[in-house]
Amino acid sequence: MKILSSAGHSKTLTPALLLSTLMLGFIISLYGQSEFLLQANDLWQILIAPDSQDIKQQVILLLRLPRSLVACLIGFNLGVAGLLMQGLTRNPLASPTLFAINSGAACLMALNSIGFAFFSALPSELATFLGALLGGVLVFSLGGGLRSDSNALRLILAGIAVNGLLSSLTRAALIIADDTAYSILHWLSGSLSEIDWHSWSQLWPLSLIALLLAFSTSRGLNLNALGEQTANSLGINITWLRVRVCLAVLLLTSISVTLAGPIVFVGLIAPHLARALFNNNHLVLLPASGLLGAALVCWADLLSRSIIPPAETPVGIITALIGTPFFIFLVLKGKL
Amino acid sequence: MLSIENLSVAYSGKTVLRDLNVSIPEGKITALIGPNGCGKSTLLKAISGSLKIATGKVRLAGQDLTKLSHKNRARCLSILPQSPITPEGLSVRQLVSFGRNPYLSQWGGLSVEDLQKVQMALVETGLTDLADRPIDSLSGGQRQRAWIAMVLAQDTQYILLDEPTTYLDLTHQIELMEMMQKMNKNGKTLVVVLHDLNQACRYCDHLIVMKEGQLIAQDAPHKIFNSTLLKQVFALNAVIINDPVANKPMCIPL
Repeated sequence: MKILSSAGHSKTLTPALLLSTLMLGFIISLYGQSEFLLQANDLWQILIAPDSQDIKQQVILLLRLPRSLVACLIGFNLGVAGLLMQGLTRNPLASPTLFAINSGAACLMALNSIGFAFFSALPSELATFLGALLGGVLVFSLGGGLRSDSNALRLILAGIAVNGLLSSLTRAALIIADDTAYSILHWLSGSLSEIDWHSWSQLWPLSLIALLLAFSTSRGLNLNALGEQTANSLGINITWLRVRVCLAVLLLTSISVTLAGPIVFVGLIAPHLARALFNNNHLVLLPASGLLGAALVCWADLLSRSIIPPAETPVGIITALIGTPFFIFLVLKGKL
Repeated sequence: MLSIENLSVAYSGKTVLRDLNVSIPEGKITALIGPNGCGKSTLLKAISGSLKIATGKVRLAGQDLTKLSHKNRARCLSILPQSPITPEGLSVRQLVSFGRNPYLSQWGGLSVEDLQKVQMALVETGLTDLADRPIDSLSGGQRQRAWIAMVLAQDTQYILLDEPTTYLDLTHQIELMEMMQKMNKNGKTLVVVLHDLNQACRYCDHLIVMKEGQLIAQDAPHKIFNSTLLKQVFALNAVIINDPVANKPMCIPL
């Protein structure tokens, strides 16, 4: 890792490699592992001879393209959100999961599908989004949020507590409603199988706003790495920085978890890889972590379709399968 | 002049500073001394705005510091905390250029003037040869110089240092104190928390003596530094002699 970050040529080589990995995954995911026996040639045909009657072309344009785009953008969002969390808390263990966003979304989705109280009146997407926000806001305010003397440890402890509470509520809901439990469980594993162009149109505008917000915090995060007192002395308004970062994380993860369920570990792995490949400047790390997240989810989605075709393994299970050994590796290397 | 008026600060319900009135003379080196937990660091934090002030005011040239934006305040006054965090792999030059943050626009990079100030700070602290080295590979003394260089690049009239000598050996302590004198000659006003009373007397023009969150005395060392004060503030029996080298008061504990 040291060699990669110090070698001069890696300045252009590493981003180039990263982009080509992502592009390759994106292209293969457009035609790979299909019941329609799609081939790379069909992609080419769309470009040179578009035919609205051709079933293969329609499958690619209406099903595969939105799915791959959403996979990449969700990966990007989660990679950026993870980096923001780690940068703000200066804690390498921080990830969007910490903010109880996943468990909040899962909880309200479960309550929504079992028809609990007024939750049943909400469209399920809205319920999930509100749940994600609820989890995040709960952790944020219990963790000391806006107070100047709040610290990262408090935030993490609040995250653990709220996660525990919301998960047990979800479990209770699943026990009560046995018949709908399967669909909730499927969503809970993180899945991209229901994605269409409608999902994309929900995802990109909110993501764009949140990503701009995220990038506006990069210099503040660079200084925050020196400790809050030093950052403050250098003219950073820590409270305002914290608000912007948390808002960006909330938006990026809520919209992603709403569409695809919790795709775990991406927000943890991508920032660590980015830091290993590049320096510690958040202006570089934010896009790098985003691209790594995008490549990760894109390839994981491709894998999820290849394990037992034509059945789909939820993509969240694949990222967990990749993420767990990676996590153990980090622990053994003493990086955590 | 930096003046602190009727300042009270409370930490989680406990009052740390009580009705403090202190003025920091311009163009001088002021030492904050007092026993552990007397509120020296808290005073620095309150001045620099990283702690909430319960009552009272901090005025810089008559202007209320708490009313300034973070950036504007950071152009007047900088503070080096007691133990700042050094991110892994950060180079000396990167750290020093962070000092220019208060002068940058939201999306802009370092200007030519910024780069010049960074270079000047590196030269003044003798770090030009180490500029591209990661800070975590430096010795304690070099590391502290890098932090001082960052503060210098920030180019503020007032510089507050919280126990800058604590983790240094004697040679590097003296090196740092002399660097402070040089900064002072270049027109900076310094406020520094020190534990070594003899160094405070030797290198500083003005002493602020605190105990239990209150001001006990403030003046030039030769006017206030005596055995009665040491007894009162530190519960220490000592004789005061004249330092034969610097011609300043010096204490020898009994």
